[in-house]
Amino acid sequence: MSNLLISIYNNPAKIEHLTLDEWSKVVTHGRDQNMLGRLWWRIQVHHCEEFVPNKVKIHFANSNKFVAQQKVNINRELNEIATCLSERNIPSTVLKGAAYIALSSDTSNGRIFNDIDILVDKAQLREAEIALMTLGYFHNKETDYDKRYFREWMHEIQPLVHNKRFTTIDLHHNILPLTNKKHFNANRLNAVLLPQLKMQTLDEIDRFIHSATHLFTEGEFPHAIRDITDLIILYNEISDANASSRLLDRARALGLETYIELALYFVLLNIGDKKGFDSVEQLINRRFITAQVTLPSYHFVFSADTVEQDGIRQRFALFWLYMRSHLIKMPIHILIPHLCRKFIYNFKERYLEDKSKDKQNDRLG
Amino acid sequence: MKIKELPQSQLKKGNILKFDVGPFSVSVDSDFDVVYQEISKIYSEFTALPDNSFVDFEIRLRTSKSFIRRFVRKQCIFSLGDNEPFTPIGASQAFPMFEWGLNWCISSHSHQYLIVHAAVIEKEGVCIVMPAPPGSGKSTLTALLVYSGWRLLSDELTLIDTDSGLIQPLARPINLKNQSIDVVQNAFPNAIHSDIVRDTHKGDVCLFKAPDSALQNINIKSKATHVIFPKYVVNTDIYSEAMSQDKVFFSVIENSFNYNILGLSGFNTLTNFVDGIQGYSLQYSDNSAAIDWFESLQS
Repeated sequence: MSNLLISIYNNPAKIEHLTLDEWSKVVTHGRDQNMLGRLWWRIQVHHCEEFVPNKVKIHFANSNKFVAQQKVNINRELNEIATCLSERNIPSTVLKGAAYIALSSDTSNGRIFNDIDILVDKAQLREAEIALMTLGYFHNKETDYDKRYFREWMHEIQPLVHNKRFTTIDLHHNILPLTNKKHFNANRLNAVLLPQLKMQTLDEIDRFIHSATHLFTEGEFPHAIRDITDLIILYNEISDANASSRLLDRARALGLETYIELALYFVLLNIGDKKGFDSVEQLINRRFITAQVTLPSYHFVFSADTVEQDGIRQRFALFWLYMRSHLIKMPIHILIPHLCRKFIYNFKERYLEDKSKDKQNDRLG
Repeated sequence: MKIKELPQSQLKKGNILKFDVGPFSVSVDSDFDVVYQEISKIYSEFTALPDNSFVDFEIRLRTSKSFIRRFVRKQCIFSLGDNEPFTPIGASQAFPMFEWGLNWCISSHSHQYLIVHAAVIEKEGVCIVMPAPPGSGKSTLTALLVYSGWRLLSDELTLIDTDSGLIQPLARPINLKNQSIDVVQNAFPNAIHSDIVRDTHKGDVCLFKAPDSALQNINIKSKATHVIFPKYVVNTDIYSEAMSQDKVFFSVIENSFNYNILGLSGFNTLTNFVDGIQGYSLQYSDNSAAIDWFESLQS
């Protein structure tokens, strides 16, 4: 893989030979990918700090200040959310970024993210929503179409945003869209209790399964590099020599093997597990489209240094993954009317978004 | 090597220009020649850096990707890496966009400083921080004062070093709008400035070059002695009122970009900063009266 950030992540000793110009690229792409904190953690674990120029250290340190403050804020918010939901007898499960913080797991090292993901039973969705409203979380804008789209077809409802602190909650009732033919009742996921909160999170196997399913059903990859390193850490945290086969068994039981095989392929490739990698590659090769089109497309995503792609093949790869994500998400008779509607409304949306960007712009100068 | 010593061939689109701006270094890759021309005029005394140096911010100013847009109503898109924080704007505004964008880069990523939206000037041990919302006349006063002998540390962003509590100079150009442009031009006809860009979302804008003395002293940090909140009010007599320490404290937080990210170190920096400082709110309509008032301040 040629991506600079991943190669440093895999082999921090490499930084000894970086030129100053390459360090500029590390800072720029690391910032884009939310990877600066995570790289700094790996560099420290491998005792390579002395090879980092002082001017670069400032950027690592600044990213960590953000991470540290995020940790304080998320722990406080989670405490409040868990108490509020448990008082109303609504069992809840925290997922992804916020869960990694609650677990103080290695995945939380230097990780920057935007929303708190909470999963509740579908039958208690409305109740949970109202409970969160009492804490000051509201939907920013929700049209009738959005309501129907999210509640009938998706696995989460429109984001809930805190009216003062602007913390965002994504309230899930499933981990896959209900229109995905592989979706299953989220009760089948294995949860563990968090010691300090009246809230659960997924066990280590299902934590990987969820994160992998998320990444490999996605069509856009703003933080592809950060997300693949998430999976590498989650994999390493499964303290088991048979992690790979346990994950594949679990994936088959849940019907998610297409996604998990792809995830394992890239994880094993990165950690250099040749034997495991070969057997996963064999599994992938059974499916023609996956092996010939999808896999090479993901190779582009995880080896590119920037999100923006110039070459024809890269553009095709991104286009294919975008289309694939939609085809996975929805059957065609729902997808086509939805895309038509999205196309028309995008103009309006873009206009509204531009306005909010301008507000940010206005404060300066 | 200073930017003014660079050959013209390096100051045109397609070239990546790297240079120092105070404690930061930036690279600019622009599709617009005007950006290079204005930088070579307004930042002429700043140090140009060789191609292989490290830069904090890799900035690009691009034309729109859409084919039609390249010909009809040409646009300018600002980006830092893959991040495009602003709406694209008209191509004629490319240089002001560079200035706004660089402000954004510094204020969102430089947490080694507590960053306050304020101007800073200094003279004979009196170091004044002037936070103020747009329209308060802050930049006009700053320009008039620095062209009459005060040292410019910064017009837009006050950088308070979280280790030392001292203010790090930036000496970027002064950003003037609408009537202020005429006021400063009339008072100092020889001041070097960029072309006036008309009809931006902030009105007409023009960037005035920092005096050379500001740049010669760019490494000298200062301890703030005063915080002044100026407010331009039509047809009023000059009027100032002392502000209590707690009021200064909370007003500075209100004008800060990253107080919420710095946590305890932000609190410590700010308590240190307000310790022993004199705070005033100032209401004025006559610039020369305001300048006399500033001259009378004692450290």
